[in-house]
Amino acid sequence: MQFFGGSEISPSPPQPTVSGNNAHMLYVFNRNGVCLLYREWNRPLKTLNPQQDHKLMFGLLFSLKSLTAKMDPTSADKGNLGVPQLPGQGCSFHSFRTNTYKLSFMESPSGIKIILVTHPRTGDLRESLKYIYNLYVEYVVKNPLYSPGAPIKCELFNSTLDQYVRGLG
Amino acid sequence: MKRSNLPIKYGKYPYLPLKLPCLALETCSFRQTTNARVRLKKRKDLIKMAAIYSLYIINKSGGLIFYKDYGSAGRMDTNDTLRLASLWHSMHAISQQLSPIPGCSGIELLQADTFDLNCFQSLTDIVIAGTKVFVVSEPGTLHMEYLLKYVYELYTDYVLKNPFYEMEMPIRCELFDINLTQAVQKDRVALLGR
Repeated sequence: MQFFGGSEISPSPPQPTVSGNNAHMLYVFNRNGVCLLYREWNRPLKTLNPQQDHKLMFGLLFSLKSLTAKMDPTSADKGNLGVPQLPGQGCSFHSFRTNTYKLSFMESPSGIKIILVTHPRTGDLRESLKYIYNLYVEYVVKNPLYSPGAPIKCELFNSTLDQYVRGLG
Repeated sequence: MKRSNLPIKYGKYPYLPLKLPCLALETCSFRQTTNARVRLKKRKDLIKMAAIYSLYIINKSGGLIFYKDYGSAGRMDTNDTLRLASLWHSMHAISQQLSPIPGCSGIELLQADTFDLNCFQSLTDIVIAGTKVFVVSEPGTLHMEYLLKYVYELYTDYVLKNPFYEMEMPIRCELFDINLTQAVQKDRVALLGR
């Protein structure tokens, strides 16, 4: 089972932090759909348990990506709906907005997905997500004690991320 | 090949029909003809360039009841549009479940790499899911929410008030089509936004 992470690799429990910014949650998934990191800053509504929530989020992104790849009005050859695509292949999306939140999404060429949920009136966060990806590379991937595919438990990464997300406009 | 095998009309000037269109171009210089070609291509691009790619209306159970294409590349067959519509319906519902704050009513704007998708959900029947109108447009197209509201108005006026229309069934109303075509014209979109 590649796409939905098994129970043995459950993400670390969210550490509640106090902050006055407009970011709600952040998710990091790897290419197999395992949730490497979940942080929440301000989430009053919790309808599901964490694991189901992560699965639902990954499923939403996966299906939305196949939807945008099929709907792409600028390319003539789109293939069939629902065929899994490699990162960077086909038309993807970078954000969607509802009346209560805005979700920004980035996928790295290696299939790492970074999702940031913020206030609906937040501007374009593509650069911020790239910066968070850089933080991930610097503090997590280059950490010799980190094994790829495992949930992230790097103290330095968490504190730097907190500091950065708190400063987001 | 034997001479007798050739069609009769090519008997004397075998390639005449192919050469004829070139005669006009041969009279001007090469540069002029390429310029003319570029200009013609630009004009065609201008005609092709539409702010809106396609429009969908889906009923409250996710069935596609209206679809119109305004010039997207690569034709999609009916099955594909039906699948996309029901996929959008479920994505819309899931996005409500993932909201960090109570009172979420689903995706309003999806920004993809090559298009924007604006969605409007009717305010009645919203407890489960309402009728949804969504439009696929060029990235950064403004005032789409006004157009969607206007399309919904047309739907209520020309479809729901039509005594021959059955609820939740595909829309086949001529007056709706006519008014929709008028509404989608580019300047009209800009006008509604004012």
